[in-house]
Order: sequence, then C-alpha cells, then structure tokens
Amino acid sequence: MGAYFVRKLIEAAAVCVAVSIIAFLLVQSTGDLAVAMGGLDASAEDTARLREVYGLDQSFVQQYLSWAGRVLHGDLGQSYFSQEDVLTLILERLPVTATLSVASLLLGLLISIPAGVYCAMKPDGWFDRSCLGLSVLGQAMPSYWVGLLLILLFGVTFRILPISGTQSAASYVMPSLTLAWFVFPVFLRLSRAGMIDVLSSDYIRTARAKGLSERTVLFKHALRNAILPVVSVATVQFGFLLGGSIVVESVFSLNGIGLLAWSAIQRSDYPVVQAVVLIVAIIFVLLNVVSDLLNAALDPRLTSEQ
Amino acid sequence: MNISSSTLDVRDLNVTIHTPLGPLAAVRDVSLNVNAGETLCIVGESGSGKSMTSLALMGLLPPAATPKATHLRFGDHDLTAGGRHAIEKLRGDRIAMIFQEPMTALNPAWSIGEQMVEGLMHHKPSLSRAQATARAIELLDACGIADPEPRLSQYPHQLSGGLRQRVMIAMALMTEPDLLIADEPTTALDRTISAQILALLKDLQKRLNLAIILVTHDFDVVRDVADRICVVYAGQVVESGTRAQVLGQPAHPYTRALLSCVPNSDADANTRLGFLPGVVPSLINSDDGCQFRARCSLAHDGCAQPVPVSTEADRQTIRCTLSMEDINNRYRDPVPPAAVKAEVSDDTQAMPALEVKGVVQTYEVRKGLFGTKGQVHALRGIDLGVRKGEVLGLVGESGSGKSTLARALLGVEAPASGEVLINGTPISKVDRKRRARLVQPVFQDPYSSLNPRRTVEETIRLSLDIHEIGTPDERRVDVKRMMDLCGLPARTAANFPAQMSGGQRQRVAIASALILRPEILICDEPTSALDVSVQAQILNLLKDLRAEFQLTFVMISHDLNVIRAMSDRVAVMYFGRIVEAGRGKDLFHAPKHPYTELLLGKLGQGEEPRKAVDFPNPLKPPQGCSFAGRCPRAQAKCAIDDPRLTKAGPQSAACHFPT
Repeated sequence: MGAYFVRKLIEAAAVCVAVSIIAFLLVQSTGDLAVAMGGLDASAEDTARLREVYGLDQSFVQQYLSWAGRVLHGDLGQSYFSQEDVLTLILERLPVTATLSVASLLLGLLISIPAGVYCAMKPDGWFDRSCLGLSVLGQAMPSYWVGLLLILLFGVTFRILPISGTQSAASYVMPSLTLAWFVFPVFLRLSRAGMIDVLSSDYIRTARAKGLSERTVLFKHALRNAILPVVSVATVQFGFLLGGSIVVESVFSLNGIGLLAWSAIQRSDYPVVQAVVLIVAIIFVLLNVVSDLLNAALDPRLTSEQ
Repeated sequence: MNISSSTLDVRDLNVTIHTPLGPLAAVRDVSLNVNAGETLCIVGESGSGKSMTSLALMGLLPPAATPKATHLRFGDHDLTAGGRHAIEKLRGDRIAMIFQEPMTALNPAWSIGEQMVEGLMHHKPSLSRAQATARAIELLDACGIADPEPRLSQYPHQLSGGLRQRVMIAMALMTEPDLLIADEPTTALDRTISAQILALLKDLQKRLNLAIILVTHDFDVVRDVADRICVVYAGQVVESGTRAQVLGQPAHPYTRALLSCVPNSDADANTRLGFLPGVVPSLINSDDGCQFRARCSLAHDGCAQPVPVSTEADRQTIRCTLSMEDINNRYRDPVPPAAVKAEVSDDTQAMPALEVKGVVQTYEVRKGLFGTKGQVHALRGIDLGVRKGEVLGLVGESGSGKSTLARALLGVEAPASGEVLINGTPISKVDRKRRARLVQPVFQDPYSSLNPRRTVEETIRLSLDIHEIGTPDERRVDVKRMMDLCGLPARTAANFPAQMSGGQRQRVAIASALILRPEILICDEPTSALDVSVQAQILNLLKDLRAEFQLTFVMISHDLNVIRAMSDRVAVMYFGRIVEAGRGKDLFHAPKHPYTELLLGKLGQGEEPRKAVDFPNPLKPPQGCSFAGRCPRAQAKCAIDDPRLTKAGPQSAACHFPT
C-alpha cells in the first residue's frame, strides 16, 4: 500500500508539471500579451515598457521558469484588471464553489447509489423504469433551466428559499439541487449497471449459498465491488463541479470560482485565467490520487504484490 | 437401507422456467435420495438440468424459475409444504455447496479469513470470532493447505486455482453440514489438481460422514468417486443405480450411447469413437413423452406417452418404455466403431513435415513502475518432429507452454531462439499468405473464435476471398463441399454463429481452417468447450478429415483421453519442456516419467502428493529438474542436475530415474 501511494504521488507530481506548462502555453498562445494589455490606444513605447516590466521580452523557457518559481512561492501574480493578488481572489471564492460542489456531489451520491442498488435488485421493475426515466430527464434538461424552474417554484411561488447570494446555508439548497440533478444520471447508471453485473457473479452465488441475509449479500459482498467505477467517476465529476459550475453560479449569483474565471476571460485578465486553470487542474489531479487510493482501499487486487 | 435414514430424499422435483416463448421444463419428475457417507453423482450433458437440480436443492434458483416437489425431506425435516423458503433456512448451515469456477467463486474484495468465518458466525451467533477463526484454520489444514494461518489474511487473487478450490471446500464445511452439493467442482482444474481435490473430498466424507451430491459431465470423475449415479437427459433422470450398474451394465439407450462416446483406455488413433446423433431437444413447451426419443434407435410410437420409471433388479431404475431385457436384445450402437485409415510415412529418415529445433520463448515482465524487469520462461528448449500424415498429441497442464508452442508452430509469434521448420523451410522465411496455406489453427472456444457478424458461408469462404482462389462460383462450390465434409447441413450456410450449437460452430471453425487445404492443422484444445457426445462427433470428424486430406495434426489438450484417442505419437509437456515423448501406445501403457504417471493416475499408493504443492516459478526456473518439487522419487541429484530427454525404453523421458 505504501509503495502504491508513493508511486501514485510521483505520477501526480509529473502530471502537475505538465499541466503547469500547458496552462502557461495556453495564455502565451493567445498572442502578444503586451499588445493585449496595453489596449488599442497604447503607443509602441508603452507596449515596449509593458513588455519589459512583465518580462515578456525574455525567452519562453526563462519566462516559464520564473513564473513557475513564483507560483511555487505562492505568488500567482496580480490581476491586470483589479491589481489584486490573484491568490487572494481565488481563495476568497474557493469556499463558495467548494461548498456547492461538495453539497451537490454528496446529494447526488446519496440519492443515486441506493436508487441504483434498488433498481438492480429488480431490473425493469416499475422503480427501475422510473429512475431511468428521471435520469434521461436529468441529462436532457440543461442546468440553467432547472435552476430557473427551482427559482420559480421555491423562490417566487412558495417564497421559502433565497434565490441568490451566499448569506446562509439555505442559499446553497437550490444550486446544490440543480447540480445534483445534473450528476444524478451518471451515478445512477453506473451503480445500477455495476450492481446488475456483480449480482450475477459467481461470488454472490457463493455468498447466498452460505445462507447470509440478503442485506449482507447486497451491501457487504455486492456493493463494495459494484461501487468501484462510481468512486472513480465521482472524483472526476467533483473536479468538473469545481471548474464547471459557471452556469449555476451565474443563475444563482454565487460569487465562486466559475464566475471569477468567466469574468476574467471576458476581460482578458490572463494571470487570473492562468491561475484558475492551474489550481483547478491541480485539484483535479489530487482528486484522481484520492480516487486511486479509495479504489485501492476497496479492491485489494490493486495494491498487493502477486 | 431404509428410506428414512436418507440425508436428503426428493421425489418428483420439477423446475419450470418462465420464458417469453412459454414454460421451459428444466427439471421434470426428478427423484433422488442420498445417505450420510454416500456420494451420488448426477451426470449429464449441458441442458440436462443437472445444475438446475442442484440449485433447486439449495434454494438458489433464479427468480424466473419455479420449483415443485411432491416430497422433500432433509434429515428429520419435512420440507415438502414449506416450498422454497423451507430449504433456505438450511442453506449454508446443514446444506453447503461448492461451485465450478474457483477463480470467480470467491469475493475478490474480502480476505479468505473473513469469507470463511462470516457464514459460521451468521448461523451460530453465539460463537466468537476467535472460535470461528480457529475452526477456519483447522479446516484449511484438513483441506491440505500448508501453514494455513497466514492464508486467512490473503485475498483470493493471491491463490492458485487449486488452492482456491480447497478454500471453497473448507469454507463450505465450516458449519459441519450434513450434505455437500458439489457442482462440477474440478472441471476448471488441471487433471492432477482435480485428482487431489476429489481425493480430499472422499477423505473428508469418510471423516465427517458427509452426504455428497456431485454434479458433473465428466465420466472420469464419476468413475473415481460415485457410489450411486443418476444419468439425466433433458431434465429427466433416465437411469439410476450403483456405479457398477450404470457404468458396468448401462441399460438406457442414452446411457449406452453416451458411454460409447467417452474416449477410454481402449481408444487409439485408428478407431472411431461412439456416436450419438442429433442434438438435445428444446425444452420449451415440450411434451410429456420420452425426451430422448428423437435420437433413440429403439424409439416407437409409445415413446410419445409419459414414460414411467421402472425399477429393475437391485434397484437400478430406467425411464424407458422398454424393459431392460428388451433393450439388451434390441440395442445396437448407432454406428459400429469403424477403423480409420490414415497413412503415416514409416520412413524415419524422411524430412519431417513439421520440425521444432531448440525453441525457447521468453516474455518480459516488469513489476511496478520502478520494478525490476523479469523474464517468464515459457518454453525452455523444445525439440520435436512430426512426420507427414501423423498426429502428434501435446499434453500438459495449464502453464506448461502448450499454447505458446502452438503460436510458435503457427508462425504468429517468433520464438526468442530456435526455429520452427515446415518441410525443411524455417517458418520465419515463409510469407504470411504462403504460411496460411501450409498451416492452420483450430481453437478451443468456438463461441469466441468466430466473427459473430459473418454467416457460416462467409466465414468459411473468407480465406478463399483473401487468397483470390478460383472464381466466385468455384468458391461457392468449394465451400459447399467443405461444409458437407464437415457435417454442416447446406441450410445452415446463411446462419450466424449465434444460431448454431457449440459443435456446429466448431465444425465451421474446422471447415474454414481446411478450405485452403493446409498440410498441417494445429488444434488447440478443440473439444474442451464441448459436451462428451459432441466431442466424440468432432473427434470422429477430425479422424475422417485426416484420412480425406492426408493431414498432419498437432493436437493440443489437457485431456489425456482425447490425446489417447487421437494421437499416433505423444509429447508430454511440463514447465516449458518436453518431459516424455514416444508412441501413444508405449507412453500410455508404460509411462517412464513420474509426471506422466501422475497425469495417468498411475503413481503407486502413497506416492500421490496429498498437500497442495508449489509449482516452480516461471520467473526463476530451478537449477535441477523442474518436476523435483512434486516428484515422489526425487533424490539429491534431481535438485542439482537438470535431466535431458534421453532414451528410456521405446520412448524417451527427461528423468534421472525413469520407471
């Protein structure tokens, strides 16, 4: 297990370096940054000065190395737009997005896994059919529309939930529901298919032959094996939720990472874009490590030397 | 012996499966009883309902299946009225079961120890975990697992197939059951391991006074362990009696035909096996008459009526409209075993059709990202010659290198060193298209070796199309002729593999291998996935085709009976080497190498290894004889000096102390 953990960490570090290069390249590839920063009215001298101040006249490798060096010291640069420290900007907004992501992920998993297990017990039964129908709806309805419907229902008609902002826990209910609605179909299908597959396997027959209770068979013997793909996908989905909740954040006016990235792109605020890409990517990589470790804990075949 | 002493007594068990096409009678009117200390073998081919019967007895039938019995008694419990739930209370406690596939029957996510104790602790909640663990250790030891305690924390994937099956047996015995149901317990295992497992079961039976119901298709197993036998066909028990009765004087036409299909010690390359025409009928919406009548040579109009079971002398029963005496007088084998004419050149100096010279094959493996590289030694120096028209049988257990050698013989994988020659030309120098016309394969599993999207005709014709042989009309005629020769009815030409039975699919595979008229056919376990009667049909077909096309064969199998029934000469492989080679009759009659003796079950009393053994590590071949670790005759010399294949009697053996 120890060696496995170390190996996964080294792999993750290598991926992070690669990601940082790509994040750096992405911004470089958008054109001459000095011209973009200076704007339309900038004179040639202004542009040259900008180039010098921001080190844009150096070689590409030098630029990358000095940028990477600053990043390692926690200096992600300053926003071109507000001149604020980028790291502070991100850290201010990260909790909002993280709360939203965790809440919606947990909500999605808590509903979809038991539902998937129950579907798998009686495939093609009325419950299974209804869940599959719901999951088609979940995939077909865009999240901004679901969000608006929720606002109409709970915010406008019943007036029981706040429709925007982050003042209280209640503010997170509707955004989380919207995102959970979005991840529900994937988890439902995975856990349902996994359970159907595992329930027909030989070792489940063995467990039944031992006369164990149906609950033990389902939750001790079947679920542990069936849940493996759900774990892998859930961590990746979590990454998506962190970076991709832009739509939901704007519908509910949540001041999160998604909204920050969106406005930074619109304003060509490259340090912010670069930092968001880098941080979300690193979180993504770390989540994958977590997913590998969770899988290893669930499935002993992954780590043991044979 | 009176009925009330039976551990299990079942009368008129029926299992009906509800399908969209109508009810499928999987088991009908099956009556059986088994006593403490006795082994009842239920033997039959696929579709006979033997597994459904055992699952019904365990209450493990799929939801779509409904069981019904007029009488069901287990020890002192009358379970007739309780139906399916009554038996569920005894499941895993008084009745235990072991299954066919030890590789998949254990949960990969839980340790051996946890899986062993959980059942016992469920049925006996008063026991502590320590007590349950102590019992697990005791049983693993009883099941021949050396040093059992550390095994408890291991996971299934860390154990070999034989060890896993021992764990399965130990696990089943945790609650001290009265009845053990074993469904094909050794089918997935090698011959030597299978013999150990059966010996273990018999030994445990004696010690624990267990009643055992053993479900199998394998007559070798039946011969080894059965006290009494039930022969099942299409859901019905067609014959039952003691082992001596059923195997010695079979009465029912099906039993007789089936036994004639089993290759036995009398079989050799020059005679055909028995023959059972036709296929098992559909069991959906079937009538109440004798299900075997369509394939029976003695069938008459009365067979369409329900057939009662008649008891003959000494409690041998048959389900037939005729009496045993009538059958004895009228029964003839459908086709008398005919001799097969095949010409093998006797000239030992002539160039062999296929020659293997010092072939070594290794595969690189790497352990982990930064792990050291290692080499798996799959073939460790093979020398072979096959004469034109000859059948060479290659026999060995899994991991012996049989299939690696087959790939080298086919030229699809170049050996690390040494070479394979066809008619004196190295196969590596023959281009792909030319090679395909010289040597062709037939593989084990006709379910996965045929393209499911191609019709029978397209599959067989494909090689002709690729090699652009003949006009389209000529190709069609040739395909038709080959289908005819391989026993494929012309109406199946447009069928897809999914519409064909296993035997028919293997015929398609053979036809498409032969369409280019190759000189050499490499058959890798061609009948391992088939039933006994279908196996006989395929082996007979290969014998006929051999004479028809003057084919040179390499027959690869783990089944000694198949090898014996097919081969002129035999090579026994162990751990990437040939350890014994010679003419079939010499080798089977008087084996020289202890490994061959072990395979043939000819080791003397007390010489058979009882404990699970460790096989040599293919990453680190031993310095001396690779069989020494398992050999009852091994001496100090064997551990140091690796024996070479040398003359031993009429054959040759790689052993310092040949018999």
